[in-house]
Amino acid sequence: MTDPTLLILASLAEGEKHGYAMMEDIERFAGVRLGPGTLYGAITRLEESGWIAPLPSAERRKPYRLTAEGKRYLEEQMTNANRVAKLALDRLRHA
Amino acid sequence: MKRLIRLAARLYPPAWRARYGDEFEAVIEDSRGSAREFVDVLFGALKMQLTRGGYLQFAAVAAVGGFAVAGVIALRTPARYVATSVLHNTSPDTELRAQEALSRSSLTELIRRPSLDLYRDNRQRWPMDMVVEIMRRRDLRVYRSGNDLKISFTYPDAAKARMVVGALAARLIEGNAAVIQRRQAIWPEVWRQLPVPQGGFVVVTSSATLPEGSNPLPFLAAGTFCGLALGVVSLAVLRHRRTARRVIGFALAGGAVAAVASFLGPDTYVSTATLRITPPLVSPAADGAGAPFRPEERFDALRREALSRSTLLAIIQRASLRLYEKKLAGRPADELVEQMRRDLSVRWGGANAFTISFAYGDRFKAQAVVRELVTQFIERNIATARAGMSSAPPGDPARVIEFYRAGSNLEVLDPASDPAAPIAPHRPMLALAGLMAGMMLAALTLVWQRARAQHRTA
Repeated sequence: MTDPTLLILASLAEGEKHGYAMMEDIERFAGVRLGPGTLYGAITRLEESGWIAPLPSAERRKPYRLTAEGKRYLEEQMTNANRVAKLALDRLRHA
Repeated sequence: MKRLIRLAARLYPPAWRARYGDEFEAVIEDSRGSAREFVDVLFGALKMQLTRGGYLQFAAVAAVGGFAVAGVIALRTPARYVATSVLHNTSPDTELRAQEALSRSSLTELIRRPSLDLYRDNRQRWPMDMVVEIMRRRDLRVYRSGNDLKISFTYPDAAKARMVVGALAARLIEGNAAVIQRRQAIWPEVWRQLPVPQGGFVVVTSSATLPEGSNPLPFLAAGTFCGLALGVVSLAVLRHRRTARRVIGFALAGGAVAAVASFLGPDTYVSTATLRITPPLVSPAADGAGAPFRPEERFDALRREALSRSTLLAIIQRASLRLYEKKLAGRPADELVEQMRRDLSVRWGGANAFTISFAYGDRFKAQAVVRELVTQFIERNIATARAGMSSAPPGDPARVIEFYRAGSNLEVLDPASDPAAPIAPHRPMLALAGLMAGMMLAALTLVWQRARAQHRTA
């Protein structure tokens, strides 16, 4: 999976994180290193969709959290992906 | 590298930077600062400008992009060199030799000469006649300045450019010398009492082969303008997706319909030949000097005869041609001749030369007709000359001149061309017209829809 939107949502599913922490986390669990431009392009879209929200912070590094809508969207996407993955594996086993 | 990335980050729209600027800079600070990250931030900025930046800002960024692309192309375009030869002390005779040197057959020989092997890429793509036209119209220049005749040739290979002007100058001098020699041999036979005119020596000097002094500014300006236009159009397309989709859809449909329609109609091929009327080698005037030479009068007389109704009808009905057999089947002969006159063009081009062109749906027939007309012109010219000779009393200079074939003559400079590509229908132009018509239709439907919506609201 390489869609930065889903990767960010998956990273925030663990808990609130700022931009750089998300980059590191995503590289760890998905093996994909998002560049700053790609990361903040996706963060902008996610915040506008209401799927993530910034947390108040006095520091420059602003943390983000997953909203209820974001959680629902991620669940929906992951369930679909899971179903497709299971089906594909099943077909491969019986091929 | 991090400095460059921070500079690239400044290309994001101001509104976006006001909201995310600080935290974005913090991420850049923490990141590795690789070249990949620089490209990532640069593309991110362009994308953000495209989706949320102001028209003016994006247009400025796109214009800078267009300027940069034009600059790279200008730098990568190979240099071209101009070689020039100047022929001093030339006469009108030299200009006639220049016409021969620039004829299709002469240039074809130069292009194909193994030591030159000019326009290799173009020759693989286009027919030879087209390559000769490129050489003649774009790269080769022959012009008179006082008594000097200048030949210049522009080519990417400096040595070849020099060799081409050298070969052309040599051809001119050889031709000139041969004509002078022949005149001096015939002259005493015609005008025993008059001194033999001496031919002037043509001297050649060659200028240094220099890089073509092209000005990159118009090219850079065009690149900037194209970038600007492309930027504004892309932004408009992204901002007004529904409208853009409609306009693009209609334009593509219009273009496709026009392109298909252009294939339904017949193709038209044009074959062309160039002939010239040369002045007499030895003057027939009593003083042996400047007799009035009026090539246009001779041309008019020949044209009248060669394009007569009977000649054209004979060509139309020739078994190997059978022109307009399908298009004008069963029509009266006069109508066929009128149609042929419309498709035929015989034009005086100045400098003693004229062209014969014929447009027809079959390229081989178009060429065959021009060949036949060239023959008609030549035969009639010979008949006129013989008639003049037989009517002159024995011993008359005109008779002697014709005996030595040193009178005014008709020569073929370029034989009938083989039109490999049709000139009509102009398919790219038709497709473009279809695109424009589709766009206009889309605009009309949008206006109509809006008017209807307003009417309903009212």
